[in-house]
Amino acid sequence: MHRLVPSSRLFSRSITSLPRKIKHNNCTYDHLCVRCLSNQSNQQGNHHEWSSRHSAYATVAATSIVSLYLLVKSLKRDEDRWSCYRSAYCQKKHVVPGAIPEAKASTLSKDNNKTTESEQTDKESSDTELPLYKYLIVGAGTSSVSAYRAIKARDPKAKILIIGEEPDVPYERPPLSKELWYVDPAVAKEYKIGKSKRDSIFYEPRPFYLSPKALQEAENGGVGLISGKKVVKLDGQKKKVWLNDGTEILYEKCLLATGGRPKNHPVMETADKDVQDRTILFRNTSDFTRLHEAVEKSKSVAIIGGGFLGSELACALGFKGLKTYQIIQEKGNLGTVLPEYLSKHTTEKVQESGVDVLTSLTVTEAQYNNNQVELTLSDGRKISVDKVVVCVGLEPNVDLAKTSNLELDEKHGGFRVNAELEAMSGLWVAGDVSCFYDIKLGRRRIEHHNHAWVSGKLAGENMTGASKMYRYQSIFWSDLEPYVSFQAIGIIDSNLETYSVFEKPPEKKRQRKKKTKESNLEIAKKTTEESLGTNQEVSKDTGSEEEKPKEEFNKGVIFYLRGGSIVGILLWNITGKIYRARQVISDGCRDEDLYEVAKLFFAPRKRRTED
Amino acid sequence: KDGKDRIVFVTKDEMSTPSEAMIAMDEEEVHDGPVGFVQPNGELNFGCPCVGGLHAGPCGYEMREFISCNFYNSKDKDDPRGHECDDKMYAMMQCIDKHEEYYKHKMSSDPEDEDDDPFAISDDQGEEEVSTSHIDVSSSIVTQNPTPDSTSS
Repeated sequence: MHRLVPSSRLFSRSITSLPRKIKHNNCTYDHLCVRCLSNQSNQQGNHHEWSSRHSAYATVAATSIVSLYLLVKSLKRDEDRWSCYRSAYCQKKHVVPGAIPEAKASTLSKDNNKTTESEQTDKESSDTELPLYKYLIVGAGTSSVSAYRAIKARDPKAKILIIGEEPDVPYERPPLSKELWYVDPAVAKEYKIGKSKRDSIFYEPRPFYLSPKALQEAENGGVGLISGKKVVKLDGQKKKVWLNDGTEILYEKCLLATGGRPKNHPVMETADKDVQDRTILFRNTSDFTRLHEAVEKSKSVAIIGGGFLGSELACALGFKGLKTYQIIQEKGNLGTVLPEYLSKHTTEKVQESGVDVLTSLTVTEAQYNNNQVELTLSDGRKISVDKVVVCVGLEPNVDLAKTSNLELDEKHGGFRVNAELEAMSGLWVAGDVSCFYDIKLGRRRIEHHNHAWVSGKLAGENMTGASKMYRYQSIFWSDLEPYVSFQAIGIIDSNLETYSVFEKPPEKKRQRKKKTKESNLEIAKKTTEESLGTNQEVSKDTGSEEEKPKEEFNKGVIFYLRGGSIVGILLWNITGKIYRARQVISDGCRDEDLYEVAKLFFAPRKRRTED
Repeated sequence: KDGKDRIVFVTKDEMSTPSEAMIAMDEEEVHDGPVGFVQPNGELNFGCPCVGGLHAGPCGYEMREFISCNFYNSKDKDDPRGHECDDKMYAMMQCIDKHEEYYKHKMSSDPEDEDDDPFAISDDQGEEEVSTSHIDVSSSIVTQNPTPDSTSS
């Protein structure tokens, strides 16, 4: 752009030529100056003509000189300003020896940087001293990991800085309520699910991550990590973040992956300190450690909450031999996710695992009593336990919205973003805290591990220019050891209409029979009245020998329906069929016989060349 | 029927008859980007889950350069010993020495480990990580074993 300013040499040449011209016009002609004109009385006619023309030239020349001079002067000023601007621009990109205590880095560098210039420019404005990173990730969880991997794959020399509030390096969360409870305690203490080095829940050991300084100096890029710091403010227009220690950092592209913090129960929140000391809001590695250690010293525990986390922990603690209570608001475990009959079945299975599941109850009081916590339930019952674990949901970490003018979603919580996970230009949001638009299933916020991975990856790809929408659906799963295990994809909401097909266990000669009123299940008879025209089989209705009051839900598939399409699929004790589930969700199967669609999930594993 | 929830119980035999359902799917919705490390067009895909975090590590770039070089040159008959890529290998080794702490951890032998070199170029991509990473694109129904416990997906 500096070429727009013509070089001063050109100007000087033109300037010097002008006086010569003017001189030529004025006085090279004999006596043709004003003085001369007045003396040219005898050559009046011609002289007049000459003189008038000449005076015209003179005035023109004079004005030209003056204006030219002024023009040149202003241009010189502009040029100075321009070079100022240029240096300021440079300074923005190429930082000057450092203002930041945290990042002692003295130079910022872009991929195509000019670091030599930066050291010569002076500090003009405070922003120019700040470190700038091309890629910044706020939050050091699962989404951050898949994001940096995606960025690095597409931008091989990328420099990515991650800022995390937790003291740990990024780790995988599901094992905290699953595998870690079923392995050797000595191994679990180190957050490993096995003896091998690769069995650590941490995605990478700390040496993988560079310090901010090392990151800036890394010629071929890398991933840097700042642990134990929180981003308290973000300006999406200035592309700047502020940390809780006062550090300011500039970015080009930023990903918010701040996750969530566990909600507290209103009663536990306001309880006495002695009660609170014995209460764990389960989420992080430190919470796991606390509970894991407590297991050795405690005899009884109460878990408040009947969702995934609560149920998994209940089974785990039951497995460990503690007297475990689970207090659930709904009618059964996973009541918000599974259709009622299945939720009831799950509850029975959890009880078989050794947990005293108390359904349709809430905690109304919590008192400290003789080194234990005494909980009063809504039906008046009191139970005393050594420890209380609260698993009543997740509060998305949207603190940044208050200071940063970011849009929140009232219905789902979290930061509102579009189908490409973008909140505004240069800012993406992924993971638990992202309320995004799913073009197939509508606006959603998903709090599962695989979603964190998939959305982080998508955000990373979009940060490097992919412009992809969220189309590849994430899955989730749960294992309530040892009886219940399922995988799911799409929208799994117990409020939706469902259609399920279960395979009867082969060994038992179980015959179908009409259900008793209690269990409220009916065997579907072959009808043609169903709106979707589904075939519903009736088993051989010979007289049943063994009258068992409950059905065995051994293995099956559940379709969640909305508006006639399949929007969610849950695979109950079926493995290896996720790809097929994706295909079905992609299609929607509006006009299909659901019975036939269900068959796809029971077919034995084999390759087919046509579909 | 349990209210809005319909349930069907079937025997195994009933379920093993072929399905008549016709499923039309969108490629983008069933595959999360390019599949496998070696692409059909011969290029290398470092976004493959099989790569893990290797390309993002302190020496990720150097490794990537070396591996790519090695891969493209492996087809070159004139250079069977692969000396073409020596400079890249040297650069990689130097970098690894610099970041000894991390790579020592990574490279050290682990008796528990049955390590499978993800970069071994072979036709069989292996069934390492989660579901869709190694789908054979030509086949529409693929046998899967999603391993949710895997750390990289």
